Amino acid sequence: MNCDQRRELLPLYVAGGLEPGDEAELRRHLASGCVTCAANLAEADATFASISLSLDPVIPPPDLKKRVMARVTSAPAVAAAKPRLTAEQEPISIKLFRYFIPTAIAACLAVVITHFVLTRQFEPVRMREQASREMLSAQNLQIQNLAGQLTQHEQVIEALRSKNLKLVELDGKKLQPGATARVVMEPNSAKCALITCGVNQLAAGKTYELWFITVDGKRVPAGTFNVDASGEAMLNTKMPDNVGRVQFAAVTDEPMGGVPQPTGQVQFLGSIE
Amino acid sequence: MAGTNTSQPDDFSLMQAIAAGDRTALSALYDRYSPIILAVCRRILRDATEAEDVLTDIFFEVWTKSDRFDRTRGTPVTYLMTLARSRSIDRKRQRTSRAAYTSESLENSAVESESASPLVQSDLDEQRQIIRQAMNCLDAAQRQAVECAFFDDLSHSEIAEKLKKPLGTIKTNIRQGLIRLREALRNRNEAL
Repeated sequence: MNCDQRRELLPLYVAGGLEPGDEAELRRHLASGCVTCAANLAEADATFASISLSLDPVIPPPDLKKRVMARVTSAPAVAAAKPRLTAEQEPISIKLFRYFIPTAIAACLAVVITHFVLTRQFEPVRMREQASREMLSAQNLQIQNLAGQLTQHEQVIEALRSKNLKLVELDGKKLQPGATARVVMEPNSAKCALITCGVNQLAAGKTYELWFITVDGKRVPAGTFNVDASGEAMLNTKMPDNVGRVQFAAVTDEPMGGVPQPTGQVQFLGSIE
Repeated sequence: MAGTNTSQPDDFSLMQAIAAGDRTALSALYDRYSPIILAVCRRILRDATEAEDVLTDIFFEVWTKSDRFDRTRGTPVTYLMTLARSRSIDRKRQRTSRAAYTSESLENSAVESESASPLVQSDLDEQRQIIRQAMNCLDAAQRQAVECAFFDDLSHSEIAEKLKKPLGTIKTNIRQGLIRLREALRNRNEAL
């Protein structure tokens, strides 16, 4: 199943109507971190939730807001302290317990001290082992990231070899003077890639998102990317199908993870036609 | 974004302020969305008193668990409406059986208070109008199925039984109805 097929399942998924097998597959795929499907899910959730807006609003009674704000401002009640018992009031069980407390504490202390001494002897070894594990984990993550980047670059290079290559320059407008953003398209296979240079880095929590805009105004998300220190990035994607003729490509700045429909400022815009 | 005009913070800003402990932001969010949230609660619970209780719970949860709102996964409107539906259904399942208010008595007991603060609703009203127009464009079967799926705590099999239609038809109606709503919302967006 590809992401386009999964998108068609999402309305029933959010409404709780998928067959168990399809639902399980969709959940696994969403958990894998697919950005496209996450954006499509957000859109499906928003659509389902928007049904509530078909109702007539009901103005709440004024005292209801007071109840809400009072609940918000009030601190949780502190439990009352239990009264202390006199020696005569104490049950025998408590007296026996108090008699044995000093002995129990002494035994516990002996155990704790022994454990402390033994642990200190082996602490340097344990710490070195922990540090090695952490370094190995970090290196594995770096290898995964580099492998992912390599795959992206190989795919872009393959597209560049095509005889029918089409190159579209996107205009950086006033926000990205001096930067370049190009969409490279291989029309026969619908493969395409975005290559940037000199693009401004965004603040933490933000990302760039590529859109394809059809002649009838649909904004189709095509992936997110962030640039390195020199403003370079490569995004491997594909031209959308079954949406009509694509007229423009655009890049906006969005919250990290991307959004189903554009909300940020247009950073680049170019005509595909 | 919903609820914006030149002098009012947008919904994302309000949620951020709430997460930082700003009670005036919660108050503004309440003014903006409590009417529609109360409408959802009353529609699901069919009980004005319980609906008000759930509304209180919802805004308390927005305040105490503000870290649960993830702006990368949707808008505050989606978050609030989803919360309203979930908490109302939870309450409906918990409560013991009681005499249900008729929808007519709910209409009669609806409170229209002139002392309620005026709400900045231009963008929310626009969304509401679009959704209502889109819902009106659905055929009766699709609309009925979609409303059952959202407001009634029923599985699709139970909806099929209630509406006396095959399960496959119900699923198709829900799916097609939601796709048409999705297109209506997409056509509204003119960010670029």
